[in-house]
Amino acid sequence: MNDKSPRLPRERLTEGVSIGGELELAIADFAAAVIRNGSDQAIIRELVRLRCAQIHDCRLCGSLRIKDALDQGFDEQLQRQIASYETSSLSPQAIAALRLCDAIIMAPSSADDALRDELRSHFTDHEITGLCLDVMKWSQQKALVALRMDAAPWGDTPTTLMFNNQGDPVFGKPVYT
Amino acid sequence: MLAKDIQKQLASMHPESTLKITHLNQLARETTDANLLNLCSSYIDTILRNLPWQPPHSLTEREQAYLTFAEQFTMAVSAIEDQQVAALMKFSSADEIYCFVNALYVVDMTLRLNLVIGRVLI
Repeated sequence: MNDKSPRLPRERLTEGVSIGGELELAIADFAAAVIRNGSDQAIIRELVRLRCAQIHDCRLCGSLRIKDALDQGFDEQLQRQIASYETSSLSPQAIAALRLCDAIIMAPSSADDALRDELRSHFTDHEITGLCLDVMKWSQQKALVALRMDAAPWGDTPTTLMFNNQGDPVFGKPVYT
Repeated sequence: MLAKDIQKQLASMHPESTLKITHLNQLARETTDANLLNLCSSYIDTILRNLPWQPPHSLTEREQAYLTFAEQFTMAVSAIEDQQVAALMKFSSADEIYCFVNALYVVDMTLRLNLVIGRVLI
């Protein structure tokens, strides 16, 4: 096994039992519902998605760029600010969303009144819960990372990600050609 | 599982996703070893709350292997080591491990939502 090999050999996984099994399909169903019911703040959502990818170190998620966010102006200059967002030129709203993301995936017990007040100055309660659900959805990659099954077929090349009307992912072409 | 007040708050704004999280938590326990998952869940809960954890009983080697894995999954998933997965394979098939890791994702994130939503929204 080299350091990039999946930790569970594919030939030992049974289609319909583990891969594509009942629980995995239900997780995908949840993820699609979050996409369908999410806000139209595509750039904020993309920043949060890529923060999840950074913290979990997911190769697949890190290689993707959501087309709606690109259409609204998301670019690599913004992407590069995520890792050091506290000292970035990102908007206060974006920074608040990233602090919520970090609280959930790194230190839930650190969430406090200051974060609560900050979030409420930028988002409605509906939007805050939507962001929380986004973080759960974009953390489904934790299972892939744990088993080292997170490699993207296209490598590190930034590739567009879209969603169909059901909220299911559709992988597109390289973002930059 | 989602705490009752969190479930109520979430359901008032995102009913479909809330129902699906509830379903995921039920399914996670139906498709894996529920006792083992609940043991790991109680451990993860104390990790996330920065509290000490007391095992409810003397741990078997299998339980210890899964708890070690669950701890790393919770703290820094990208730092899981090959031997931590290999340790699970002494006791479980690849299919069982794959399902368990997905179930762990469900309980881990549900516990995180309970904590954070409880602090920023309720």
